[in-house]
Amino acid sequence: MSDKFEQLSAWVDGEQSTTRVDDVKADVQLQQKWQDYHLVGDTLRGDEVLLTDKSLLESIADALDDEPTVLAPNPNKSKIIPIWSNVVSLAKQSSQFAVAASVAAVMILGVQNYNTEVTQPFMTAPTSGPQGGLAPVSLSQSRTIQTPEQQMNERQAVLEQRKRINALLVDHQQQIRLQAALEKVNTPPIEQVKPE
Amino acid sequence: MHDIFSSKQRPIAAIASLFSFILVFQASTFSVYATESDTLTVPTVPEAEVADTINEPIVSTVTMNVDDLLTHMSVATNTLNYQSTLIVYRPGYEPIPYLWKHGIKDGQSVELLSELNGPNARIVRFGDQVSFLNPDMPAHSLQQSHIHGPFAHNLIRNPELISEAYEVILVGKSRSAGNEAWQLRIVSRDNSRYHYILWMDAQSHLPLKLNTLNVKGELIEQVQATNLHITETLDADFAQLKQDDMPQIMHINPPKAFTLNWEISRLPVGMKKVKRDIHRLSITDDVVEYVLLSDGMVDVSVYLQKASFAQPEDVLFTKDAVTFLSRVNDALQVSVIGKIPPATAQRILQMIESVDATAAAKP
Repeated sequence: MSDKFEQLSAWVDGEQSTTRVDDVKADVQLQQKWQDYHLVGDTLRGDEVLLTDKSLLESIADALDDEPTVLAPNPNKSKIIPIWSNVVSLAKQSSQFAVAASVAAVMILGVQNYNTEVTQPFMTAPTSGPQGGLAPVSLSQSRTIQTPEQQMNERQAVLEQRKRINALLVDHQQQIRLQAALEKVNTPPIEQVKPE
Repeated sequence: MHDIFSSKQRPIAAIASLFSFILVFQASTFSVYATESDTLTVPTVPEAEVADTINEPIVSTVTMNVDDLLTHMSVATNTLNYQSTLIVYRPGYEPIPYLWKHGIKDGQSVELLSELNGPNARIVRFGDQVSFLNPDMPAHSLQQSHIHGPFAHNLIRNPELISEAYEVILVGKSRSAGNEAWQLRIVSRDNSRYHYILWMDAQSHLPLKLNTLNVKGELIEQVQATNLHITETLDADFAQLKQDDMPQIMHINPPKAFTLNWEISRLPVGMKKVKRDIHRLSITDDVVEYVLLSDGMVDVSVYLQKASFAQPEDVLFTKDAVTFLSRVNDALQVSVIGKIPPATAQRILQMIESVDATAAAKP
């Protein structure tokens, strides 16, 4: 009996096993176990778990109902611990902000760049006229008029920039690797091997 | 009666404890500020090390010379049979574990570096032949003097090559990876590079830990050995490996000596031009004019290429402890990449000048 479950467990884990689909289809007990094993596996891996069987949830709810309510909790525990935990999480958050901000900075640089490019041609006509006050309106208009095509171009340009940066970073790594070969082959530094 | 009394007492006790707690909390925040200003003035001597040096007999620290220690380390890394697990950690990223082995087989130095997570990528070195065995690409060998491992190779193998750019200071004794260790600081002579703290096994003189710190003294990269085994005999893995089984060495044509009509007029102390050429980037196929700078510890790439795009502001960011800086001027893009502080990258970029190509060719 236990061997049957062991084989099923191996099957669920994708290991070698004698269990076949037909065995499970024929055996209700195996079906139940099959479900349990997958549920346990998903929970352990931290996957999203969908409970179709309400009986477990109900039994947890029942158990909670039966729990005696603690009316006078220890003030030391309930007051102090939350404050400390807040302090720690704040410190953690700020470091995350720093990372996020540095990423955002790169993004904004890229976006600013392409906005100005597009708006310039639209600004020329209205600002040359006497009604200078209208200039801001035309500026905002020029942004709204952007066709989907232009937006695509902008996005394309940002992607292009990333690709260019990436190409340089990859090449830098390659050059560093090759440098080890250089050190051996041309031992004198390049300064001395300049062409005559 | 007793019950009522105690229930009245409770809120008072709670308030009192809360107040005292706030006081403690404020005091702790002040002490944080205090230690921060302390670390600004004396950035790289952690408290633990100070305590250790006090406990240690002073005689041993006085008699040990930095140059001797570094020589011992280079001899040890090049001659001993050893095995070590290294963890490379950069704040904000996942740590990367490596296995590092070295031995002497048939009179020549053999070395293995493999990444313990993910696809089993290995680099094997027999003497000057370095073979890359990586599931992502065909196996190949190059003629190279060393494997580019987690520890800065010149520091642990050719310490004299970094002496122009860095000063090495013996801090004292400490403990790392369960062993007694010498602690050394590696400080840039003109304070324009990152600085480093190295822990070296006191018994075998092999490296155990290397911290890279930025100008503020914050950790940006850490290499930490979790164990170190030194053996009398060659490791079984090396005994099995045969150099004949490794792929043939691919010979890369030595780069032609190009004359570029630009020059970096002033470099940080100890930094040298190691290479200059014109090549294509493998991803975009763009032609770039290229100069590789090195101070022994870090390599810096400088690229110059035609820019078909506008870029009104500089692009500057740091990823994996590598700084990237690029500027577009007069349809030319200049980029500086390397493990150096952003301010130094900026200074190198500013020192780029165009020169007459024929004049530059003269010695």
